[in-house]
Amino acid sequence: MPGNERPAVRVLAEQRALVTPVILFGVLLIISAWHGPHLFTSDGLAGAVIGAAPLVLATLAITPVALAGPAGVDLSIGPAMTFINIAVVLGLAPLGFSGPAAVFVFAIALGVALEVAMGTLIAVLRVSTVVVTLAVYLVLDGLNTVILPQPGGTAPAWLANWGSASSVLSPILYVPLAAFVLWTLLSRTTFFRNVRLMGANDRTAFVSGVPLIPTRIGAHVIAGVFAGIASVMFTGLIGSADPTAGASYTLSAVTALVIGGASLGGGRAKGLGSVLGAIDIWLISYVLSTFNFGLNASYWVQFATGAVLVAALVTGGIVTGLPARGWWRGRQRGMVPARPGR
Amino acid sequence: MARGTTDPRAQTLSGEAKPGVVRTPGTPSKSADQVVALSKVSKSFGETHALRACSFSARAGEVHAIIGENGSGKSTLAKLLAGVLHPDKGSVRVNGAEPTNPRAARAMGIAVVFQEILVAEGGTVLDNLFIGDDGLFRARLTPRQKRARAGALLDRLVGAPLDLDMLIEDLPLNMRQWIVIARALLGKPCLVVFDEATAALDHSSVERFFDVVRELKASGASVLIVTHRIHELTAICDRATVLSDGVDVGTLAGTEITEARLLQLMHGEAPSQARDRLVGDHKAPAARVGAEEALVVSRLLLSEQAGPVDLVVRAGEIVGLAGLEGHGQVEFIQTVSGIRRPVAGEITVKRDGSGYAVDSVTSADRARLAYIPGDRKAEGVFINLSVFENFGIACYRRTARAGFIDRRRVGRMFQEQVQALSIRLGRRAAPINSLSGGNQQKVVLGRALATEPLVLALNDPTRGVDIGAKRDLYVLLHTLAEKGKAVLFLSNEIEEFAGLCNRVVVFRSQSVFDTLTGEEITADAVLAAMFGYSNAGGLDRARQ
Repeated sequence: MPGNERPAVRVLAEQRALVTPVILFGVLLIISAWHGPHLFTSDGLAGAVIGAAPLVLATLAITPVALAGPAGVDLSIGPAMTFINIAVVLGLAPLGFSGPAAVFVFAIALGVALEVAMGTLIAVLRVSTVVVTLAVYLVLDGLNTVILPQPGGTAPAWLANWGSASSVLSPILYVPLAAFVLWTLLSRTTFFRNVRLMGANDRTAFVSGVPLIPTRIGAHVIAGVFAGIASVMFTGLIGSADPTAGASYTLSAVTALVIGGASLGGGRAKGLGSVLGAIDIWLISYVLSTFNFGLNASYWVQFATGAVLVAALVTGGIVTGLPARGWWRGRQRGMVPARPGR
Repeated sequence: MARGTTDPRAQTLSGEAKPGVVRTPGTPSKSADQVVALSKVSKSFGETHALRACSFSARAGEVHAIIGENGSGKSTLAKLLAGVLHPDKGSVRVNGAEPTNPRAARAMGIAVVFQEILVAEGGTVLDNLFIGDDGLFRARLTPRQKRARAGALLDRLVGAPLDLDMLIEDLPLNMRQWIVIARALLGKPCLVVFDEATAALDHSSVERFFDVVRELKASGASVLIVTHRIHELTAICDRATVLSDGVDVGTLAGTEITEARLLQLMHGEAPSQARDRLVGDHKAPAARVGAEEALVVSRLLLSEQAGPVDLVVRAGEIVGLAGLEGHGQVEFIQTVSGIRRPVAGEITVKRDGSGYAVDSVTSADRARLAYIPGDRKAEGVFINLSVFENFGIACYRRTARAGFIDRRRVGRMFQEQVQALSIRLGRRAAPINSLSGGNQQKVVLGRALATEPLVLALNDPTRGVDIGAKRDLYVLLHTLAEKGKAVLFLSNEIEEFAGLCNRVVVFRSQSVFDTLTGEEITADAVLAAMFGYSNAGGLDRARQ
């Protein structure tokens, strides 16, 4: 049988989408080693993992939605994380449920509930993902500030301790690792394959008998699970409830997703790419923080992130030769009705 | 393959379905082995009636062809069986049950290979073969089983081993067609519908395809083939049902299936007369065809495999373009208009002794070649803009003064065209879709004429247009031709050509199959040529 056993190197080399985030990762590591070697101490590494974990998980959370396509950009992730953060700190802990199990179950359940609500609107009413998640972004962002005008409250002690860990061999590493293992397992299920094929061509999937509505909502369920874990890590990082700190995760996560090689058209997105993309984004801000920009640092981070994004897309496009082919293909595809049943 | 030839029913069934069994057209058979039963099915899409009270039946162990012109409802029938569409009236039954959605149809053992080659780009070959096979959470087959089955089947279909982990978009079109066919066969179906499944296959693969069909038949499955290639019918089909205008006009069996009978059925007596009346009023094609060449197409290749197309259109000439869906006539007119890029070849518009090459929309405009699309919704109009805006789009630039729109001048041009084409409209600021299809088309036409083109390329301009507006268009085209314009006229309604065109060029397999001139242009002759029969003696040249 051809192609049954294939060397791992060849498989990796064929992942064209991972080329950009891997190269970027290497470049950023080299710059860090030269200009910010603190990263490679135990303390520095722990700080890196703590700092990057919420973004890594947030990016994983929006990956299945991107995979389910078309134009599956989940903008709600930042405010959703903040909302869960506030609910955990101000809602759950005072009720006496502050153990790790309760916090994780609650956060994941809330994340899944939010995502299922959005997924249902998108799948059943066929409203575009961007519109629905933008609306939820605005609603939650407003609601967060109404519930909690000022940062306040304290995270459960164990969670706050996670956030101030000084060794990398602590839950702050184990949780993202476990989440990634969960992702890897999920991505091998038939359900996940249906999500991917639906994203690649929903018409083909429909006529071949893939049930579109449950599949699409299911993609949002996975998103909700990771959104829940992301907000627990976020709560650990800030150690309190903060109505505004989370919103910026939306843009960072979408950027990480794109750098990680996901196609916003649907059908193409890899967990590993998203993780690498998120780490790259975090490294960019780390590298810039080692230069002395003073008060302007955050603007420089934005500027650099944007520049890297454009550069990554352009080089990625040149490497895979997409622009020239894509234009004609897009035209051809445009001549076919987009939805089945006409 | 499917169901295994050891099935005891196989022998008797294939024996029973031998050619020669004559059935009255359209009457569903009541025999026990009937698999498909459509009775009085109607389906319409807005104004278009795809099927009207169409009945159809097919038995187990038979190969049943469904043929008809473009738009006669064949693909709609396939989609009904696949559960993609639902009938407005009537009932669709497969083994007594109704396919309510694609998933249910699949579970009932119905496999449909659609006309479009539906693959999920970004997926591997294996993914694409088994798409929809798994449940929401459980796979029906293990990956090892999948690989084994897919490998064995593809070896046989393609004739060579294929890397199952290859991305589907890296495969050429004919291979993707095989993947789609293989996808249908992997489920061991009891009913397989091939809607134009051989369109992308070359001649030797068609033979392999026939072997597959014969095996399916032997296994007791019912095979429906929707096709435009008549020789396929005689080679392999037990029965053939002819659709015309959404109605089943007759079923032929065995030796009855001949080109003559099929064409006769497709073009029944009654509709033919109605068609003559359609254009009967002006049965005088523009007499004065100028000597000068207006449009020269040389050595044009529409696809890598196709033969070259050469065509010269003279001033004052109306050249009809015909062909079955997907045989290149649409690609040709769009290429000539600079919308598509040809694989090779040159398109030149001649004017005042000099030639203007056309290779883009801009150069077509410069050469004064105007393209008039028939699919108004997709290409013709801006559906949410006003009538006037829709007209003005092409004129703003050329009438502008120092970059500013000269609304008064565009308004004058608009009035001229409204009068010339007798467009009936209320306010000119009203949205374009407040007009009837015919009047919308006139606005599109007026927009093109306002640019004073020398060559007009009309892509199915009478689609969805009422009969009055059609007549207006024919008269207008004659007038334009008399003024020395060259006209390319593509139509899906073959009865339009007679009386209107000086020549009709019939496309087949992405190149010119036959050219009919003058008295030769009859609806029957065009139809025959579309199906691959030329006057020369009924040999399908496309077959070689």
